[in-house]
Amino acid sequence: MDIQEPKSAQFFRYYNGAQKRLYAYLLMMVHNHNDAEDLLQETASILWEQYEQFDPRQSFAAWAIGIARNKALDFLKQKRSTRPMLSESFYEEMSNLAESESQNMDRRLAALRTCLKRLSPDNQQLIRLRFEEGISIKKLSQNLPYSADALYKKISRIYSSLYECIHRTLLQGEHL
Amino acid sequence: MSPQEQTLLNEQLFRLLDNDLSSSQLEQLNRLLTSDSQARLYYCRFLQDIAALSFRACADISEADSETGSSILAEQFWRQMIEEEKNAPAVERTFPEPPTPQPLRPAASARPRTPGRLAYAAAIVSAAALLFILALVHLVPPSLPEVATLYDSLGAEWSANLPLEPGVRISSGSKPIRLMRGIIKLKTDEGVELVLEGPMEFQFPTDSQLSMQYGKLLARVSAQGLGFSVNTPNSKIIDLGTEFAVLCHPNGDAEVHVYKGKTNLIAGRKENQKTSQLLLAGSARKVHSKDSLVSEIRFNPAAVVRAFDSKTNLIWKGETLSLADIVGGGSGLGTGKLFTGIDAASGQVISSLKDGNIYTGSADCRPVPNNPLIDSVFVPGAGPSPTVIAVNGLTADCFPSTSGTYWGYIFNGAFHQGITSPRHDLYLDGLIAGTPDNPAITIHSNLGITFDLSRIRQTIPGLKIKAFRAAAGVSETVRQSLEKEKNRSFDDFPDVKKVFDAGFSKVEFWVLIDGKPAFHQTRSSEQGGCPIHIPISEGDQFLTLAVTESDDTQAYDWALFARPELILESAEN
Repeated sequence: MDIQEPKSAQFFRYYNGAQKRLYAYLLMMVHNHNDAEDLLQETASILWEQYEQFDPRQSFAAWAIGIARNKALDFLKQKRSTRPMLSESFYEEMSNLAESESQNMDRRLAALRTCLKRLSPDNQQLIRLRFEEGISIKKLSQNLPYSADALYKKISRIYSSLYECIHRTLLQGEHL
Repeated sequence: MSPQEQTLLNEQLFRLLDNDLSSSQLEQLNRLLTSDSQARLYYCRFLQDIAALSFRACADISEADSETGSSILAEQFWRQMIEEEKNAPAVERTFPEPPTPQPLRPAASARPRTPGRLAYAAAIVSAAALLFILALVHLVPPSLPEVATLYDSLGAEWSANLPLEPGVRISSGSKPIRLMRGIIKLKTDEGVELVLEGPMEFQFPTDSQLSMQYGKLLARVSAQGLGFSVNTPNSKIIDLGTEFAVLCHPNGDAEVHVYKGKTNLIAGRKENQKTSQLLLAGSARKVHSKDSLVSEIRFNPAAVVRAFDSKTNLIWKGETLSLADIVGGGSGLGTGKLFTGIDAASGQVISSLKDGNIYTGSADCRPVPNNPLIDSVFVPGAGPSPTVIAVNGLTADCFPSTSGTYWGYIFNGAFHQGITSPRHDLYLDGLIAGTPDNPAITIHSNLGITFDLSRIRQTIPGLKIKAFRAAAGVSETVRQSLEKEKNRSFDDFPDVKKVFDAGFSKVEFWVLIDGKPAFHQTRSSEQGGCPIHIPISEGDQFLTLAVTESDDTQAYDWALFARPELILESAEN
């Protein structure tokens, strides 16, 4: 009659706390949403299977990223022959840089949240359609009065303003 | 990096994400990223931000304003889009493909649906523009359909600060919902009852589908909801009139257990690798995440929470109520004490055998004041017929006239200890009786006990009693005891001699519903247990178990009801 599942509940608590960072890390490594999502699922599966080996005195996120790194590097090795990729040295370097950068994700996320509110309503909506809803640029261009090229440029400009805002916000500590 | 260079890099990175870079563009980007550490840092931050914007777990970014801001924002967007379109030349556009189904979003409260923006737009724009608006409806659903209602919750907590009051309407939305812990009961507008156990992540792609990433679920599907389906990452379970459980494990493995009716299990992600199986009640399958292969697993009737009640904290996973446990002073769910029972002479709860003597009982029915789930105990056939079997005066005229003598008490467990027989466990069908795995009520002849079904029902809100089930028999240890004493003379004990001469003991087992016999059988210690299964209706008030001596007197009548239990089902069935 007991509904508690201590081990799985504990795992999910750790995992939920780390999954945004894990996803960001994987996206930095493979620069494709579908691949990153697949790898996240595979990584989660390995994390669960090897959870017994996790030392709770250590950082779960760091442990998880170590496993995600191996998954991502294996994946990139496999994909190299079938699709255009960046250089191998870039990915090797990125595996460390992405890890250190992902440590700042929470601060950056708070700043991003602040800055999103400062975008114009239609720019907010476009960001939402493209990223939250996952509607492709091609499909958006079929339904909005912009070509795909124009949408790429528009969304690139919007991100530039977001990036600058995040940079300023982090410097000023506005988000704290 | 100049603003222009930054925007150009952004565009290259957006195209990289979409796999939309030419070889030369990719090479150009590669040169920049490998030679410029600032560009690499920018790449990292860019993708980190895009991950935050894209990842569904990052719902808090948009949900920060979801209650108020987003609707205003959407309204502004719509107005702007309409205005733009009013002034635009009519263009022929293809109708877009159906969008990705919109998942579920909890609404703050039940709200009537407002007139769609489509109607608003239609009044002010041209026919050409209307076609465009129609297309946009699919991309920017401003008011998403409500699909289900929250009925109850127990210890539940959403990932976001969302309401849990009964009556909250659940609508489709852009992100899955995460139930961090506890249990909730939902009912879809199609009549499907769902019990969800956290941690769980789920969404309703449509009003007849639920998708889950992980967690546990029970679906109870009415005729109206026939065809409801549950999707896991690697399988789809389609209801064919049924009650079933789905467990989606963290590693992606999925289990299906079918309690009633039948379901169709479709396993596999890719079209050409999908397999389909028809599952019947009492069967279970596992779909493995790695290869989507389906294997048969042991059916687990307690795989998920099948009903609960937040007022009493009752959580039901398909268990039966053990009457042996109730006789032991418990709730029927394992809290009773072994060897605790009821003294037939007084109706008092006692925790051990007083002595091994034989008593002669009166015709009176004794109330059991210290166990509210038991109405009374009595000695069947001890006085003039009919025998009173309940405190309210209910009688039964089925019992034969008996000597009115009995041994011991009616208790949770199974042993005998007489004047000449040392204490020993009782056995039925080769199994030791009165253990946690094989509970029993020992009822020597001539004794009877009446359970108050009405009061038992009060302890299980949301559930109903479907049937009584047990196996009735006389302990196999009678034979060993008779053999041990074969050299002894029983000339002075003609009653006992009768049993010795026969080589076995006989009793009559009785099960009555509201004083009417539902089961009656004479059974000897050589015959093993006899299965009993008696349906119980919602209006039935008293369940009576009794044992009377047969024509060989009460000697060696070491009778018991093994695994006596009430089978429950959800009141929704």
